Amino acid sequence: MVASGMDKGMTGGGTTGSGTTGSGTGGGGTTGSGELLLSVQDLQVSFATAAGKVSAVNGVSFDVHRGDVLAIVGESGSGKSVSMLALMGLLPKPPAVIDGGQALWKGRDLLSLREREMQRLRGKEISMIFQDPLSALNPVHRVGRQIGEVMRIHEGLSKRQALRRAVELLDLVGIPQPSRRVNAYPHEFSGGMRQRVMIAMAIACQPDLVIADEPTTALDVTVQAQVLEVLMSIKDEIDSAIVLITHDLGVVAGLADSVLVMYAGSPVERGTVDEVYYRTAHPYTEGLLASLPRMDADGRAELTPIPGSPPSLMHIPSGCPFHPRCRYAQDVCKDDFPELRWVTAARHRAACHFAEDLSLVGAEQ
Amino acid sequence: MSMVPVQPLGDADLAAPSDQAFWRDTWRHFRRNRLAVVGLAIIVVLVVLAILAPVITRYDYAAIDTESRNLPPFSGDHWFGTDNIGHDVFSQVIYGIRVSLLVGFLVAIFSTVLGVIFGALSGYLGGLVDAAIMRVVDMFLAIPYIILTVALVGVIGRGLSAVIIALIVSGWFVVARVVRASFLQLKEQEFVQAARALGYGRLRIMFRHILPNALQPVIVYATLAIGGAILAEAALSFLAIGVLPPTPSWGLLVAENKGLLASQPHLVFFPGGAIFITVLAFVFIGDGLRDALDPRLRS
Repeated sequence: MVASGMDKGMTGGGTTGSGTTGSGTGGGGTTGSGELLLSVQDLQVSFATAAGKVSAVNGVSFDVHRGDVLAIVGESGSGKSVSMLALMGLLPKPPAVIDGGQALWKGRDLLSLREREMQRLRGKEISMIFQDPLSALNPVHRVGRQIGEVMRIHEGLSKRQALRRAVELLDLVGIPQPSRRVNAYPHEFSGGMRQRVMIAMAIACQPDLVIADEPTTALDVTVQAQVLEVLMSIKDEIDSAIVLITHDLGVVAGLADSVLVMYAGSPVERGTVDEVYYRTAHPYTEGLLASLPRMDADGRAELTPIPGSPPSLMHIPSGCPFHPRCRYAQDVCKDDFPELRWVTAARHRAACHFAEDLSLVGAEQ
Repeated sequence: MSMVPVQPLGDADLAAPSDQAFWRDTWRHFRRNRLAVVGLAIIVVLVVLAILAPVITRYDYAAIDTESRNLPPFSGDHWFGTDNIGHDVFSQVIYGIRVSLLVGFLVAIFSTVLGVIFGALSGYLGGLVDAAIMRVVDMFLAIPYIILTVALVGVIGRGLSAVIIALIVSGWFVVARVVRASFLQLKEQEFVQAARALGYGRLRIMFRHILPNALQPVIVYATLAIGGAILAEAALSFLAIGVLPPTPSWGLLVAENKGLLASQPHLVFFPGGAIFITVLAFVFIGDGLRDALDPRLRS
């Protein structure tokens, strides 16, 4: 089991310039089951602002294999969305600058592809689902036309064929009476139904990877589970991988294979869901988990919020960016930036000077 | 058997149903605005009159009939009377509709299309393209259309085409600014990001995705611009830098007969009234469209 996650270690060989030997290598806690689709190494993104350079993503690495669900977790401003937009080539440049790293998509570096080539990939091989389905759908076009358009562009379908496929897709994502609803406008759908429409658009060309950026955040709690269920069942149907961006660790637990936790633009912990949840090796992850309401235990367990708030990217603290909020912080944390490094098993990494100690405590409990 | 036959999906099911709920809605609101409907009715009548001009009129608008000069209105077949060299004023005014509508529509259409193209490029692409287009716009803003026409007349000679070109050249940038402002706002919307994430090209995003969302002020502007162009043509012709006689322009008719205002006011009244009614009708329609297209003003 452990070894299977290591078989892509070659991708990381010598690609990182600054990290420790451990931090750059691939195998971001994946199940390693399918073909390697995407291998991101040491991605660095910053924004040029009037007040100077702001580093938004600082050395993120992960691998995505076919069939995987990778969850990227973090608060707003942790760099999770920016990383994804950078991979998709959707960041406005300027002000965004990609300072380093590479993102190999089936062997080709996404970060150096020309816009025209990226256009051919987007929507066809890699697609994206956005947070607010109402504002992500064009208000003046019928949903059938919007879903059909993707296939007309990428697969050269005729108007009629595209509309037929749109009906099938609406049916697939669980929209009742699809042949009627295909003629409706986005505002005629409820929030959950709109997100299903977005999913239909995202999977229309059977992409290899779907990036879902907080796909349920704008939805009612009762609808969230349904939408995620649709997303997961379709993932199996079209045999793709999913990168799920979220700030909700509860969502992650049930769906993801592996987790990447980010804080202030840096990856702080990476591993399988079990490793990250039960052998937590970073105080920030621990804090996130503690602020999650739990139904098991005895129901009286108190919620423990993380004190303070995430740092402004303009003023990232010295040393470990989390140290001002960390209850274990020592002097070394103020001065030395902890690299992401091995903790226990082959795939579990954390960026904490005391990762081993924390992890051992977690394993004992 | 209890099997429910599944109806295969026919093409009829996929055909768009009674299309365009949006436009139906707009029309419903437009209809409620009485002035707008009156305006529309006036324009319809004018268009019919313009088309049927040869049938309706008894005299050639350019014919000089020295036997019947200075006739008052309703003298026999000369319903609007005749001027001091015997032109039939009714024929002149009716044929004048053709000139006015031609100028109005051509100027509105071309300045809108040009304005949309440049405004869209400017607003969506930003940067150098935006700066370049906006500086050109600033330049045109500083030139009064009358001066521009004088210059154009100097280049291509006086006539209808000079008027039309001059008005297009001095009208497009108003649309460009309106469209640019809409695009600046709309390009930040998530559906534009989503369209990019689906791999759509820039032109498709600009004109198929953003433009339909920005069309409302453009339609209103274009309608008002028709009236504006008609008025401007009349003014240019009045100032003798517009169309050439005997082309029956209302502005020209007013200019030619302005000396007779005291003795024969009908010579100015009829073409002047025609300008007034036509421009007013387009303003009514424009206002009605503005209200009907704006969901916030619908109640």
